[in-house]
Amino acid sequence: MKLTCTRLLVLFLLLVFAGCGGIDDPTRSIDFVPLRSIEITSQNAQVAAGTANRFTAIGHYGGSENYQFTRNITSQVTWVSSDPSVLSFSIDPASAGLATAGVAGTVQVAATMATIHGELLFTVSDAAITSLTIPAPASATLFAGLTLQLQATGKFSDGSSQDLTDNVTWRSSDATVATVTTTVPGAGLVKAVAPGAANITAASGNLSATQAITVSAVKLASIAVTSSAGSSTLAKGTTMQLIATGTYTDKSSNVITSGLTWAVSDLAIATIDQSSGIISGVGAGSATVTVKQGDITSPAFQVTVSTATLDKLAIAPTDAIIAVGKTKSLTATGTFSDSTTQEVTRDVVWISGNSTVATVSQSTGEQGTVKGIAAGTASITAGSSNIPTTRKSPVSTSVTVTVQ
Amino acid sequence: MLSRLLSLLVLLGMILSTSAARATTPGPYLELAGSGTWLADSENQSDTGHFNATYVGGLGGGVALGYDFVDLHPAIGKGRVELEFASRRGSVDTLDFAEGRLPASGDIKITSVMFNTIADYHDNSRLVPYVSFGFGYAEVAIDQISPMGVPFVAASKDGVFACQVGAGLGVELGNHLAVDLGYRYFGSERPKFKLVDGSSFEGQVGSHNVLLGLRYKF
Repeated sequence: MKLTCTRLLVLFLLLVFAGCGGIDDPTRSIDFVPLRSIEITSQNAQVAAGTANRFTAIGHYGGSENYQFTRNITSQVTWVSSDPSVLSFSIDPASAGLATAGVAGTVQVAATMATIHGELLFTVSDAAITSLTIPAPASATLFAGLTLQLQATGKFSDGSSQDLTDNVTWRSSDATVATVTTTVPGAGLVKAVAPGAANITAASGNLSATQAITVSAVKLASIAVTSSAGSSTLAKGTTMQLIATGTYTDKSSNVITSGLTWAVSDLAIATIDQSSGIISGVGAGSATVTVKQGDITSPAFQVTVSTATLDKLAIAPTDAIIAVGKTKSLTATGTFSDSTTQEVTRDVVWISGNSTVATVSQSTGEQGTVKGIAAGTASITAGSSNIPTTRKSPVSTSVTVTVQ
Repeated sequence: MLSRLLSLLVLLGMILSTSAARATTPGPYLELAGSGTWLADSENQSDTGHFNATYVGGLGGGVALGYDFVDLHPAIGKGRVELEFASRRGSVDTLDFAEGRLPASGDIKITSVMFNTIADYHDNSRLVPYVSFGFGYAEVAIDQISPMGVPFVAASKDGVFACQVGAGLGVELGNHLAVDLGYRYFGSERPKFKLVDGSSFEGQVGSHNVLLGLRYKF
């Protein structure tokens, strides 16, 4: 049977379009860029014997052409103390970087990954704890279902202070009102259960400190969703922070950050991170977002993902000055083809041109955070990654930071 | 200059408008063609997740030996079959990872031998639209790719099954000669390549090709 021109044209178009499907976002990490050095940071400058300290290993990765980035590799390195009687590391993988101080002394703490080695000199003092306190939180009244992180601070005989949150024994006087996490990590986290009053106690030997917690009988009446950017439109390939604000039966309101369940009506348009409330624009169009706590659900919040493409980037501040050992957060703002601007700090790739002077973090929640390493100047570049642009090359911009 | 251009246009018009006989007898032909190639973005699957690649277009070319059946088999229609040897090139522009996009470079060369079937739509005009379908074998070769100067993909090659679909327009210049202007989409099964660490990944091949050829029928 003779095939008609029309039928074959339709077949041709179907075959062509079948070969023109989209591709998914990449999932492989940049794991081939070599680890150049390991930097060790410590929770405390020194600790007293008998207490614990948390160390963090930051991997500095770098290729040629000045491409460098940092990554938290605490759980991937091997931790060693030069004298385990002074400081010994936990072998529990869930407690990577946690070390217990034994007797007074100075040790070399080492973190090793393959052939790369980082070191830090650390001192354990023989100071004795003289007092224990729980710094008062901004508010000791919680609504049921909410959480509050308490901290325990010890003062020692040598005049020093030390965060002992992970070193004390936590207890709640009434777990039906409020509970407190006793295990590390996460020790000292109070969770409000039901209306009433409870005392949360931190104890270390013969010393203790108490914080009274009130769980309000007020109930959550409603929740509303807003955007931190003040706009409900984001460009495809970018993210936006959504905020859940609860209004209670006493007309008070409070931003809620835990115990929430987010839902997006169309995951082909946007997806959302349950723990942070950060929404990602995936495909052009509109979708609705709701958030729920308990049996209270918010009204639908409409989010629009635009097809605007990135035209240029700007970093602020443009002339940051950072002290050695200190950090400063930079923000990146994109200007898009529809003349809108949007903060894209989380969405760009951050690069330091001189990691011996300053590093810039790419870790989740810390993107754009610059740390001063040594005196000098360094170029910090923000480059478009998955943000669509009509320009042939990735959009980027740089600023110079001064470390003093 | 303008008068020469006008003269050429008039001459071309005279050739195309003449009522000289079109090719109506079956017979073999030889076609030489050059092409522009645009590689489609690819999703490349490795052991530890997938990374994507974008490309910059390049040039290609090919030669085909075929047979034009014309009206020999009216029950099937008017068409041709041919064996095509072609090569097409492109180069990597960027590689996308979970953390973001990195500039990269490295050439890709696709060499193929394809068996094509072409359906021509003759009327009394010298313009002959066609659609085509082909299948065959392709060897895909890639250079070492080093995003930001760091070696990642090793130079490697793989042979795969390939197919292509196309459409175009033939312009008959007489009994023997025709100009071919066409589009082809070329795809293949996933070729396997090596990374510099010794592990392998599956690539993805798809290309849009615009070709300009000259066909001589014996």
